[in-house]
Amino acid sequence: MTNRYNVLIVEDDAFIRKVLRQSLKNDFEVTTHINGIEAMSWLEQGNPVDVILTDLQMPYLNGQDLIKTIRASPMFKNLPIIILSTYDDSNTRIACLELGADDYMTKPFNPLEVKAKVLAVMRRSK
Amino acid sequence: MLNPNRDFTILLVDDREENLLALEEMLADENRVFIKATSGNQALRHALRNDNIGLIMLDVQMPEMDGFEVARLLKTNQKTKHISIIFVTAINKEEHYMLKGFDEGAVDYLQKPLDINVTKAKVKVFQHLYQYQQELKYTAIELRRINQQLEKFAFIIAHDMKSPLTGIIGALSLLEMDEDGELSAEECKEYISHSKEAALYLANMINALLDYSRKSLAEQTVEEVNVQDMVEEIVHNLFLPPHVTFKITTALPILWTKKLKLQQVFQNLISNAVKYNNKPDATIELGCQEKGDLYEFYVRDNGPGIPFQDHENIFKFFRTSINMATSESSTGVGLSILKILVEEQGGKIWVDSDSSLGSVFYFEWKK
Repeated sequence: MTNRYNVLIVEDDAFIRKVLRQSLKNDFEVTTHINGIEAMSWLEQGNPVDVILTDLQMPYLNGQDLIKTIRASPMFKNLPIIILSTYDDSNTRIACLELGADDYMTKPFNPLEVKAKVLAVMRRSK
Repeated sequence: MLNPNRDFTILLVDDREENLLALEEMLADENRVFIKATSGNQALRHALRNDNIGLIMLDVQMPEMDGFEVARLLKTNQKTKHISIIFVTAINKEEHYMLKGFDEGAVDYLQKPLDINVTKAKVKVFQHLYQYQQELKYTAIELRRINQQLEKFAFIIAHDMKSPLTGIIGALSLLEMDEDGELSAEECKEYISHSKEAALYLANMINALLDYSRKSLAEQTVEEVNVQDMVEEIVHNLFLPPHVTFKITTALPILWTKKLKLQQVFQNLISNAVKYNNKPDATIELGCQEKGDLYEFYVRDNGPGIPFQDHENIFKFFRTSINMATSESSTGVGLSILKILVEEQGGKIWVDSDSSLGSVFYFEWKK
């Protein structure tokens, strides 16, 4: 199991962060950060990240701004991004996908579905 | 636009100055404003420019453009078609026929020579009509505003309640999936206790909301409120712990206001100042200063303070600051409700805090 994908989780709620980590840790290398700024600096330090799973509503750099920042960066513009948000209206979904998200999931979530989505996005991106 | 206009503006139209003056004198009354025009064109210009005209008294026989023509033009314009018109006319046969053409809409006529009593009575009827219309318009705008606020409120609540639920459902799913007993006993325990905490948090949230909706429905009569007495009573009922010193540092006003609402604001701010205080000798100061047509009240504490980045967040629904979130009974509903209460009265609420010195909550209240 040396070629496990690296998943970067960006989520400000500690409990949800923990549940997500637990949901994915058997199949992926998991790193968690609490907002977009921390996530960006993790990326810029050159840490390996294959896919980002991010919340939308967070203090400091929120999810939408994180998508914009990543898509505008020459280094990371192709990095797959999955949104995981409590917003389930189609306007928000469309806005995020148009900004450059690759998939959109809503909370509450089924841990198995989160895992399956991450795998599906990885399958498409490789 | 928020208050129905109490003034009643009448546009008088007659090609003869002396008739205009006579009419104005006849109808002069408190709250009535008169605009005079000596031609049809002038009358149309006034009607298009002035949004407050409630009635037009229109002489029929005028050179160039007669009264009927003016009325027809007014009725075809979206902006002026609702203005009431009283034709002032001698009513010969031809005019009688013309009047029929204006059957619809608020149109009436007065016969020349004018009878003072009839004229006054008729104008009064139109004034009442106008004022009812204005009140209705005002009510409709108010209702629309409240509706929008409610929609927003419901959206925020529904959205924010999902957060604790997400944690609970996620944790329970993990426990359910763990058929091989991979999770350690400690981890299982942690998920269960986290889920329970999140569920309790939700229950608190629901209680706070029920409390809020009860308070919104509660009596909202305006009464004389002695703020000093009210604050003392609140403090008395809070049974402050012995390490808390409470001081009123300025004179407090007597207000004519909705007592329950003001009481709720003070009560929450004072009990927050007590609840979150972490000092062995807690000090809470309350005072007030006049600011134009508002009073600015403040509640100062020497508690842990609130980080600058949270100064706005704490007034949003279900948002609490870092130090607040550790307290069991903090649901983040209190301050957002205070914000609604204060803003309903036309004031603002904000916090000023230096983490080392504590916080000062300010709010404004109408005199």
